[in-house]
Amino acid sequence: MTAVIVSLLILMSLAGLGRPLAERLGAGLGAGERLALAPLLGALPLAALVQAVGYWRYDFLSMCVALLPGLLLAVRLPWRTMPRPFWSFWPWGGLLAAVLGLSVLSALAPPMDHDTIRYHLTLPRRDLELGHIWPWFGGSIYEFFPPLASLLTRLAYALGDASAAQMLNVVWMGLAALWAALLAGRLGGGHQAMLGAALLLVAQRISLNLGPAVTVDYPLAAFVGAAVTLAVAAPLRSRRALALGLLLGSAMACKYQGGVAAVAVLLPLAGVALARRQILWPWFLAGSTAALVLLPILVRNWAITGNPVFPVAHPLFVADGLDVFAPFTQAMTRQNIPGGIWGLPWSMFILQDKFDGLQWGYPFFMLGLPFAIAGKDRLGLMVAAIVGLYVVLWWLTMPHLLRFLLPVLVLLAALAAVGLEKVAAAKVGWFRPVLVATFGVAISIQALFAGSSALYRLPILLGQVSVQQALEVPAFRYYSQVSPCLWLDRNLRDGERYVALINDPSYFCPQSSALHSLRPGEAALFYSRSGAPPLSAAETARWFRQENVRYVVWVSNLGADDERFAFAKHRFDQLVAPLLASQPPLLDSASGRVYAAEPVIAALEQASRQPPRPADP
Amino acid sequence: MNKDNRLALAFTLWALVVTVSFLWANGGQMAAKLAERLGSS
Repeated sequence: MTAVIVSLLILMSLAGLGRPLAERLGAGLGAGERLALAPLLGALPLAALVQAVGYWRYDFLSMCVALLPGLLLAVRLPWRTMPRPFWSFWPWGGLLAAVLGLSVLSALAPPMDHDTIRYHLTLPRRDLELGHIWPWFGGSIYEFFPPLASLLTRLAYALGDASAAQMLNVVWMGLAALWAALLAGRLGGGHQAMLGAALLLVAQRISLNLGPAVTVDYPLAAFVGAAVTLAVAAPLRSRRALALGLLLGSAMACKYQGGVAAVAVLLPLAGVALARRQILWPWFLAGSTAALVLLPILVRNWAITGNPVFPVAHPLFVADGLDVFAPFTQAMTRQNIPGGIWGLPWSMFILQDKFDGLQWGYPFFMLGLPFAIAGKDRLGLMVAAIVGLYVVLWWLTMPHLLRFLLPVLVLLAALAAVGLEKVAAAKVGWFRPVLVATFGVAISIQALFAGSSALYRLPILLGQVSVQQALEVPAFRYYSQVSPCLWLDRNLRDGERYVALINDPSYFCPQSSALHSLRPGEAALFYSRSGAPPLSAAETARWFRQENVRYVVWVSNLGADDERFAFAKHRFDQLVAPLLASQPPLLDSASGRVYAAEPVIAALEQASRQPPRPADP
Repeated sequence: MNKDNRLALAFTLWALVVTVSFLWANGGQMAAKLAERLGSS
């Protein structure tokens, strides 16, 4: 219940802060669109507040202070003019309520998603333990990515817990769905198309899996969706151009892919304005506003790391800089997408497994898209052109993961729903059963995905299995490391530290008590081609003793790691891992083991007293 | 053939192509995973 209350309070605070902006900048929009715009325009000021207060102090009380101004302003929201509840519209409104309800329930379960456990919640937990919010050079690369959404995650996490952070992501997904509905309306769709667009967004397999997790992708999708709706609503004037810039800037402040989406939105629309001999300066205003939003983040990164877009393109900005993503990029080259870029309209929906798995599930988007752009609907063609340009840029500049298409999720959902509504309007006797059968098959397939996703989370929520039982299965065990982490949580005392021989940190482990594997001044070296200097056994033993290291955690699949530089890790592997073979573990589980550190330190000290072996002749 | 008939026919064929292709490409894997999930739950 706390999670629901916290996420609703944050939504109110966002809307309260953003409403004055939405009212002033939303000229040409309907009342509903302006109301939906408010929480999006409130995100930037609320995230700035969280950063400002959190830099000074990050805990429950300080985050209440950050939340308060927005809540006070929320009193002035038009509470009495709320529309008819969407679930009363049968069938799509009812189905939408069912899928959203499933996401809300799933968000109450403990974190299970890979990146949520690796960093989306791990970094907030670390910051909460440390008591302040500021990126730590040499900690992880993720805290240098644009922080808008992750700051709001920190707000939810401090006010509630992991479930509150996950519930906030469901709220973001709900906002993205709302904008899919509004865009469908702008594209000429009726009530059913609008509800269908929202339903298509929340019922994609990726939404079923990632909606109740923590991501930065759903806020990004909401910002891009709202930006496109604003841009196509009417000829752009200065105030709405400012709103468009703030939305695209917020998208970029969520994830760098927002920059690619901004280009995909602005280029075709500015091109059309140019062809129609309309004034271009609103488009420049929108672009420059967006760039200005991103600027403080670039300056921060440059000041700390020497690279404004750290960790991206590090060799370009820093002499001897490491290509941080090289191991990941190398792993991605094993992909073989049939048809290359020309086969994409087919492969990205049908051969999803050639990318990063069945992210859409049944290809509803593919079913509806052609009918949305057939005919003379210029708005539909314009939105499709934005999607097309984004997909081309995605193919050319990013790893070919379908989840990196989420910035255009709102657009795909709106277009497909409008296309399907057009088809459903055909008045042909024999067609009705065909249509019902098609939707029946498609919905049944998607229901299997929904059921599968729910089967992972709901049994924990219903108390049928423990977190440990649920996560100690092959799909989750290696990145959750749940048994060793929970053991440490129970046994580690104040002032004690542990050494982690792991591939990635896990949210379930204590964070600030993990021994950081870089000494002062070594962070820049870690991200250089020469790397951090090797450690001797004597140095390591001395370091462990100084830092009161009591335990060593060893993960079963140590070294199976495509992202070796995502966190400062593997520094102690070669020295310490061989010593563990002769030690009895304090905890032995399928995901990993915990060892007492004292015998390991003693073995390191003993090894440091032995004379070095003579070199081979 | 009027516009509605053409639309209905086009959608019927398209839906058939999309659904059959999707199940052809992914049905086996989906069935295997479903069996695995039902077995493990």
